[in-house]
Amino acid sequence: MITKKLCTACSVVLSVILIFAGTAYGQIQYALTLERLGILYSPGTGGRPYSMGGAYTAVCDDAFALLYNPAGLAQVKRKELSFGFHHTRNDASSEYLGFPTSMTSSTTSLGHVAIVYPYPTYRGSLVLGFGVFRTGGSDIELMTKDVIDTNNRTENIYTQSGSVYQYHVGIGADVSPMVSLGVGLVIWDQSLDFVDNVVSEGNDSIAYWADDVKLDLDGISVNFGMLVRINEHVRAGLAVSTPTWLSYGGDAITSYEGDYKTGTYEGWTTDPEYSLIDEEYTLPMTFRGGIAVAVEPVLISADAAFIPFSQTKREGLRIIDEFDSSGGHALDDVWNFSIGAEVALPWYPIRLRGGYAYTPLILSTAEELTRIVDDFPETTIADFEVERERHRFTFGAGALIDRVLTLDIGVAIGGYERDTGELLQKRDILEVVASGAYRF
Amino acid sequence: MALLACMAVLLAGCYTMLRHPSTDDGYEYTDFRSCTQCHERYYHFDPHEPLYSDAWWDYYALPWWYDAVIVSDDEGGVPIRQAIQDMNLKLRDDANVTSPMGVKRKDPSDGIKEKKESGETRGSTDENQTKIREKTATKTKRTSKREKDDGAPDLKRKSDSGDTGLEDEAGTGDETRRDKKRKLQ
Repeated sequence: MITKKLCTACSVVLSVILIFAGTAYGQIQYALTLERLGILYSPGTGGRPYSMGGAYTAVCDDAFALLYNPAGLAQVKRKELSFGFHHTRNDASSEYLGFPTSMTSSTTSLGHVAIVYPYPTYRGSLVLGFGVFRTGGSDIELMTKDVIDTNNRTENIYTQSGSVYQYHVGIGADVSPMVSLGVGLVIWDQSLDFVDNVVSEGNDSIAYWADDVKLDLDGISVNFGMLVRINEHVRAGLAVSTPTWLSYGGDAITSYEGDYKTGTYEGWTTDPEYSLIDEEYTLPMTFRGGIAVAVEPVLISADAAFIPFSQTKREGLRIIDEFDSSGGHALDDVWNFSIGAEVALPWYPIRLRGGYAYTPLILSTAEELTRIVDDFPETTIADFEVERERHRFTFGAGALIDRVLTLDIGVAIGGYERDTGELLQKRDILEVVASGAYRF
Repeated sequence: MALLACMAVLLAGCYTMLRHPSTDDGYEYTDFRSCTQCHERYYHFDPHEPLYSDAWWDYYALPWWYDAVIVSDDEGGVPIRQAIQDMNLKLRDDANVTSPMGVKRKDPSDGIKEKKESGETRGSTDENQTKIREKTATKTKRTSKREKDDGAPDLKRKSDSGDTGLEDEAGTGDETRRDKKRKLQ
């Protein structure tokens, strides 16, 4: 358990969509919005890398080099057509002031499609690649309730769908017998829909407030990679990404209506409010290093990544935590660690894999509950203590079929748990990644 | 822009060679599949040995363009990948490795000289190319015999046109190679 800052409850006016609309807000909400949209967490995809916990920076010798380390492209020797699917199941449960709720959502989508072409060489290696990868998911359904009695309750239901896709085009080449370099251009794309519903019921009235938002994300970054063959058993990899320039655009419809329980009033309905969304963000550079050691028939790999999220910017300015008296940043710098192993069975063309990934939470603040106060939504946020850091255990297998076709499957089980003192949030995530490659 | 700059760095004067280097005798690159015209061994030093592999995954140890000059094991020989490894190790330690390709140049009195004397021009026509391949196949077979005498793996060459000694001696195509691999495990 990692203790975060002292739990300081505080209120801020407005919810996510009004932030986009540009009304008065707190900066911490920008960070919360980025987290909710799923742009800060990119676990990747691919049956083999996923089942090895994502520890693939020094291993990559296939199309996933585009995603993990473009220098790894130089190791590809066969023309490769690669594809995959990604299934995610989210169990989100919460307990607000002792009142439990839970929602389950699942989604299955394209994991990746990629093609790699090794150019014939007389010495060294030159390999080109292109692929589309689902690097993160935004599909969540959340519910939080505060029930005082049968006539007084507040209910928040948040439903969001969408995936983060990255288009990669890359090249890897040998610059010496031991060293390969690679570079890749990454185009980010995300189409996202979410609906945020707030129901607030009192003794004399009940009010419904809703946001219906459609967003489209475009972004760009560049990846650089290096792979060093230290000796026949050991390889080291290094991958660096430039800052990612993101642009969110979209529109939102906000509606508000209600009814009185007593008297002659028939209730009220307000005209829907239409808003346009246009926000610019800059995610920080990322640094990832890895090492792989192989002694047949076992391969062991480990990765470490540093992402200085405190450098995340909105409209060119860093996002400050306005409730932190020392003026700290809303997002924390993080170190991610992963380790993986692969064993080749001698009797059959099958490889068994396992891994572990530690990817701590980037924020130390969470949204608790949105209430409607004086005809306006009011969201309470609070710092939390981490009860269980975000991590995942992975396992899987790969099989070779008639020489040219490989099929891989990876399963990841993970999640996290955090507690603000009033709200206990728990997230359990199950992911199944299946992928195949035709190499010729 | 950054991508273009990096590509320029990678491709300009890089270790990786996309074209055959020029030679003293004015040889011009025609087809990487006919390396045995000039080189005793037709595959170059490959630093990209898979991090680890086994007999099942041998296929991925070879670049796809090697398929045209695939090395096959013979009865009593060694698996393909083992042959490649042995060859690379030998080349790596061989003091006579002078070619930029990392292979030992063949004696000039061999194929090149013969072709010059016979008035052939390398790669100038399809007919000449066919002749070269035929000669190459013959020479490769002879070379393999010599290697076997020296205790080295007995390797044969299969051209993409399919007119090889491999079929004569070991059956037909990929299926034969696979069967032999399994048998040797």
